[in-house]
Amino acid sequence: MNNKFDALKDDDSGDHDQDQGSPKDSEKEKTEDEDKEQNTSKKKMVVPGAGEHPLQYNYTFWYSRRTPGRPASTQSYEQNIKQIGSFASVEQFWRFYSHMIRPGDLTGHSDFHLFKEGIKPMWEDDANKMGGKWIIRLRKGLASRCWENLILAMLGEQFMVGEEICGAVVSVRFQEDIISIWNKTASDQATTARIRDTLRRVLNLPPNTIMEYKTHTDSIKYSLGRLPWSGEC
Amino acid sequence: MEVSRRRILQKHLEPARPLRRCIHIDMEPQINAATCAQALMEEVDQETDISIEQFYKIVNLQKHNEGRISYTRDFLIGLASCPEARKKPEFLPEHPIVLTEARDPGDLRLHEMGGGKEEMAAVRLHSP
Repeated sequence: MNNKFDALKDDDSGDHDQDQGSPKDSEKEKTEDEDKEQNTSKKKMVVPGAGEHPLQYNYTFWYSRRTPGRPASTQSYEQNIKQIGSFASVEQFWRFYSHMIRPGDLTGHSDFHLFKEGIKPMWEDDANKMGGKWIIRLRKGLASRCWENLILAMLGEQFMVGEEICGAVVSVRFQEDIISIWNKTASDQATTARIRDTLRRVLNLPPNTIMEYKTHTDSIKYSLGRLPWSGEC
Repeated sequence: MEVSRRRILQKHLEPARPLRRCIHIDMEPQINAATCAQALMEEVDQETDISIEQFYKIVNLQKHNEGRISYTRDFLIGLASCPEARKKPEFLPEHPIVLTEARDPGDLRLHEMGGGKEEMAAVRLHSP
């Protein structure tokens, strides 16, 4: 375990998701307040308000930030990831979105996550463990717009891959920003190709933009050993 | 015949339209298939630069998406400025990234019109 976290200390690739230990560990370390908070939100499933435009799925916004100068550990990850709120309609989405700062205005090593309700933005989650993600690295200055286009396509069901999409992440890093979209089945090539094509279309990317698909099992492997030939994770 | 079938298909897709703008309904009935395909290609090219084969692929994909609630980007953005979308959420944690008042939904897109194009062009220049 320790090795894993040590290896991650310098990782700057948006793979903060490896920072946590097993879900059991995290359960133990949750404070009482957080427990209460999460229980209430679980009991009270969000529904679209009268006259609102329903979404195909409910989604949850999360925010995480790595505390500078502190080693990433189970405890610090659990403290650093914060549930912002869940929504079930287009109007409810905008309420949250318009009350959050834009990713381009974030500072430090931080991430916004937007995942289907019930799926945690971690690869250990049942929905993610066989999955992977498309990663696009962006020059500074593009993150807010690309993130908006990405999540609008996801909420609007523009990817057309059935139940495959799990969520999306924008990672603000020192010299670049990274956006990614996670799906359930990394081995399903028809699905991953379709997601790639839709990404190109909705993000309006130049044709030669580099897009990288990474399975979560690879992310885990590389984060454990930092193999010299694996380059940056 | 082809043409009229396609029109019916488009009608069924309301309000789910993955292509931002679709075929105009007010076409002359005697327009032949080739002219129509040309018109379609032009429509599509303006936005996304996809080929006619890809266009048909997307139309076919859209059939798979039937029964799912889908919205275009423009439709979603259209809802961003309605009063319901500007309210403060009932439960909102206190947090440095959480704003006390809603940001202007147009600020990003205004910015897009100004500096956005140049930024994209800059990306192109940097790419090999």
